[in-house]
Amino acid sequence: MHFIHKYGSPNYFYQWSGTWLKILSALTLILMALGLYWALIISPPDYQQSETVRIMYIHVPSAWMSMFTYVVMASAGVVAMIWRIKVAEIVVAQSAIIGASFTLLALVTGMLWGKPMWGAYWVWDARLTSELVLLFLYVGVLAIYSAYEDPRTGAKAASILAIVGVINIPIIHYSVEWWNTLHQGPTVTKFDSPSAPLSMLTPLFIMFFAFKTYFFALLFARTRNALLSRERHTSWVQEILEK
Amino acid sequence: MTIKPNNTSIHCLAAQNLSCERGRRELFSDVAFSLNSGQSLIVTGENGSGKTSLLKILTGLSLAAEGAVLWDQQDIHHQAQSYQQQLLYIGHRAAVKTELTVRENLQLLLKLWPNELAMSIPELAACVGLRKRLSVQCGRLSAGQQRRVALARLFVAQQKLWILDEPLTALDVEFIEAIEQQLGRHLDNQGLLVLTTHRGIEIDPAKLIKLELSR
Amino acid sequence: MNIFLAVLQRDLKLALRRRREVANPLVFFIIVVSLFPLGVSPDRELLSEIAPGVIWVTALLASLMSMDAIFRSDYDDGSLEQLLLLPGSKVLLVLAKVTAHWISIGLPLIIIAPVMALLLYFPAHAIVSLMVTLLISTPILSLLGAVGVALTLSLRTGGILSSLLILPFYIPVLIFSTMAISAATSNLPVMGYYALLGAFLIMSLILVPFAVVAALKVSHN
Repeated sequence: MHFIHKYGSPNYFYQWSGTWLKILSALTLILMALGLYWALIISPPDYQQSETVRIMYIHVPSAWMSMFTYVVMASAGVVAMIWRIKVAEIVVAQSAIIGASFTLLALVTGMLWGKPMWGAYWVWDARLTSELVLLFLYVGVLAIYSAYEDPRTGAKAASILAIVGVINIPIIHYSVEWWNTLHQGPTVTKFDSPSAPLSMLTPLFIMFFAFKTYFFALLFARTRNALLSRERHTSWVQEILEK
Repeated sequence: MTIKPNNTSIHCLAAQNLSCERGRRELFSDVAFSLNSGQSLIVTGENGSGKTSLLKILTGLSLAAEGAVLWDQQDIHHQAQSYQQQLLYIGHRAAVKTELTVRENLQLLLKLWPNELAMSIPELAACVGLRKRLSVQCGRLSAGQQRRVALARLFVAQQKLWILDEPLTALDVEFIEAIEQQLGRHLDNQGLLVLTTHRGIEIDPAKLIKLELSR
Repeated sequence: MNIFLAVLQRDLKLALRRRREVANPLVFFIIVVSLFPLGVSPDRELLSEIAPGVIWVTALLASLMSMDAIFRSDYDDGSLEQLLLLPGSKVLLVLAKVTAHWISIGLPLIIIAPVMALLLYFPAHAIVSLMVTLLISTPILSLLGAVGVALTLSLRTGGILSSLLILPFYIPVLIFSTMAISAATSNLPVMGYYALLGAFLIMSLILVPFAVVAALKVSHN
């Protein structure tokens, strides 16, 4: 596992992530502009939901990213616990913040979408409920991380919680879905229409990739910042600052 | 009570450039030493200099920010089981259950920890001067007496490496002598000893290594 | 196995000496359940409808409240660091402590729950399902709760924070258990729910102790 130590050493990470940060930021700009233009202007309004359907182009990618980020966070947690890589510890903390924001975004857009659809901002729909539980899980990780004065200990505690969480999420998700079907009868899920036309799917996928590159660009930028402040007394940071 | 000289193999505890961070503050850095069978290491330093943290790193309970602790030339975290077989650690918290009587606490010590001395509970209690208080709940004992219950382990221990954090706190002069004798026997039997203390302790200077932590 | 039995015996003996403290969560359970008729309505039908949820949510909270005791006193007096230095399996050590905790809190809860359920006009023919779900699920609650407590041991705000971390993980247990009970109430087959809960229990028994050990080590760092 030599390469983990190599790519995870603070100094080397700072170097290679710099290049990636530039590429990812450029990609994000292009994809976001293209995706938003397509989603908000080119794509047709839905015949049932008319213009409100456009919330989907933000809501669905956020919901996807909220789950994806949790997996990234837990994977970083595994690396942090086994190999004690400092960068991985920072990634855990940073993805928790980003993931919680995606989850909140998915919840808020879901509620805004729900108002015209269901006539109420909140219904105990399986997906919204799952997303709410996911937000609780993120809040837990953030709470335990910030409760420790020592950031390294806090990151380790957060990693353990994230790993326990990632094993539990499928079970929670499944149980909530099941609870929902038994209590309300199979509701027609309005968030994914299997017969969505290509004119809607294309911008959705572009937005999906835009969110993904945005996530990694953000993660790299935040991790690099945190790393600089954490390691500010070391010689390699001093060298960078002098340049 | 004598400890019968069991396997007289030679052991070595070594620390390599240990450093320790608490919060964003560095407690100590570049601590290194090498301790052989029959030697004792006394860690000194002002309050907050990281004495307890260093001892905890040596036991393997805490992780050093950098550096390694070696037992017989091997990292202690790569041989946790066999290291823990050889290790006796008494922290500054007594680890005595106040709800249990002296007898029950001593029984627990004998049951949980490997020991090879066939000594009855009353005999062990006599060693630490608590013979008459066997059925008293430890919560009713004084701090010094609770400390004695914890230190009873020193009289039955077969471990080679003793790490003691302020062992003499709250003890009266008589019992301090008993402990010093016991530590001397341990060193005579090729044991290793690491301890912190803020008061002097009688140990053969030839066997003594001093380590001062300073920022 | 020696370490398991020795620690189990030790913890049960300690629990026996602290009977009054151990009884607190049970008293909490009884009082909170009795508040519902006062707060909602003494209406027979309404109460029997919400009884499974009330009993279960209150049991969750009572179990969570009691969790702190599993490591707290051992952490405070230094016994826990000694136990972690014992040569031998730390997983068995954790399992022993969780088992002892479950015997002293979980079992009495299972015995009291039916009595409290009847006060809420819980249908008598579904009482067995209530007890079975509690029997399978309370060990899961103890295991998961132990993670939360272990993670927050060295923090001053431990208690409330650990509940915050762990409650979301209790959701599947709550859902499966209450669904099993409502199935039993309407005379539907319940074995499937028991099997699911059982699977969850086995998974927790295998995986959770490792998380607890890791968390205890972090707390002692």
